[in-house]
Amino acid sequence: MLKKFWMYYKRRDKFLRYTINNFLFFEVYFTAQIAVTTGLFVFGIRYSILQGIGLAVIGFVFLSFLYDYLVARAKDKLNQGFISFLSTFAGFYAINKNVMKSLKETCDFIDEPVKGIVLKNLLLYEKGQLAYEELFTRIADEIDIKSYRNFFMLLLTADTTGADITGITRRLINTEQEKNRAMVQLRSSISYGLIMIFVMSIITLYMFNNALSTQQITESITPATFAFVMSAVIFALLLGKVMSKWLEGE
Amino acid sequence: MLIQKYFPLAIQVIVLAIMGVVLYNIIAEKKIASLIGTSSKPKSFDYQNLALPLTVIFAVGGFLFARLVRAEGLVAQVLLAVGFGMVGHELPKELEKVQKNKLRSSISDIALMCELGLKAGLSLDRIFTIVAETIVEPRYKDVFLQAAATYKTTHDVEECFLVLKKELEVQELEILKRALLEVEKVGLSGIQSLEVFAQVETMNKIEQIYKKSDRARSYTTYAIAAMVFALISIYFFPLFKLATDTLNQVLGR
Repeated sequence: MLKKFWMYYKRRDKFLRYTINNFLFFEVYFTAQIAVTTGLFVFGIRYSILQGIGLAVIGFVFLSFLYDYLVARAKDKLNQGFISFLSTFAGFYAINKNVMKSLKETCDFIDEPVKGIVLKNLLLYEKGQLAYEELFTRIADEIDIKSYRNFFMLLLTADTTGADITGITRRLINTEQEKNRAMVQLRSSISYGLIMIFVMSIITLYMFNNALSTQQITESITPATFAFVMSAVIFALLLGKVMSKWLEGE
Repeated sequence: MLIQKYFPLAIQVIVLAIMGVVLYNIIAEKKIASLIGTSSKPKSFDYQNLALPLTVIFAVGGFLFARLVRAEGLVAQVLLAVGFGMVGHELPKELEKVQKNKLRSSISDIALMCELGLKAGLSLDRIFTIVAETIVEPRYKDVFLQAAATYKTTHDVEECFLVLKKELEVQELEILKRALLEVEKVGLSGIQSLEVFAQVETMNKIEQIYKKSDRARSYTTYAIAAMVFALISIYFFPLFKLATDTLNQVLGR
């Protein structure tokens, strides 16, 4: 169970390293997250145990929300690049009638993570270190986006059986266009929601902190109210987490 | 006096209960549920058996939570216990729903793979191997590999789908099976049924994205309402209490 959880996050951290920063390993982020959580707990426990726990939980949830949001943005960026990759490939295939050559020429016109992965594996294949079938599965595994994976698997089978690759790509482009149109709407409503949640949660925590320093309010606040405020903020952050997962488009 | 004492707490409990309902609706949906770990259950596991134990456990948890936050009076504790217990009672149903809908989103890809593969002249076992290659979750990967092996030995679509249906309870599999049988019976001219099925499933998938963008707005509203209410409960309930106390003093009670 714990191993499964770990692998789940390990699978996601490569997207961050592709698009944002090479040093953004999950281990580093997780250590920072634990450190911040512990710091907040120590800071909060001066007032009461409940406040320490509440602040620690909020810090933890907020950082994991941020992580999920960044991963979702990275995946979304890769997903948006898929259609241009596909159409470039289709154009080159119509000229070359050769998958390897078209893939290599496509790489001049696409963005970094996909470009690097495809070129690296093609080089390994040309040196004789990869088998033909291994090449496609490795590219699909390294990119690890569902649409790319489907495409490379189709490409492998179509190339071995001599099927109509142009027809397949045209079909995929049509579906992808339809999907993109729907995603535009989803993206706008999600970014609106995330901004509102972010701003409101900060305002809530700030006002709550202010309230705790006013003696008349502190006297009449019960721990129940405290738990209520904390759970409201955590609830909002969890909703934001769920929404940002939708951006991944799987 | 009683109203004055319990009014804030009652409203807080109601809002907490609503928050719980919204949260388990989401848990039922997709990815969080896969983290909870419904995967290693035996096949003929009945989720309804879990309803009573979960209700009791959640109710006791709610009661203990009420004690932890020092909620005043028995009424509040019972209310919290009942609210938590309701969540526990409804949870198994939703888990069962998740189990059934898990692969539904990727059925359109499977149908597209089948269509394109059959057009390219591949046999079904080869197609299922490719489908297995596109799936990341090892459990479902194994199912499709098993189905491919079954087809290779028996050359029977029915038996192949019996293997699939043991693990995946998706209604669309039945339609896919019919379409594949049709192709097997009349040859490639029967592929039209598969084409239509793949297109309909793709449309369905895109429809789901539109629905999500609708739901995103309502989720935003829930989140903001919860936080605004939290702010009100910090600043206004003490003021409310102060006002009533002062009123009582003025009236001389």
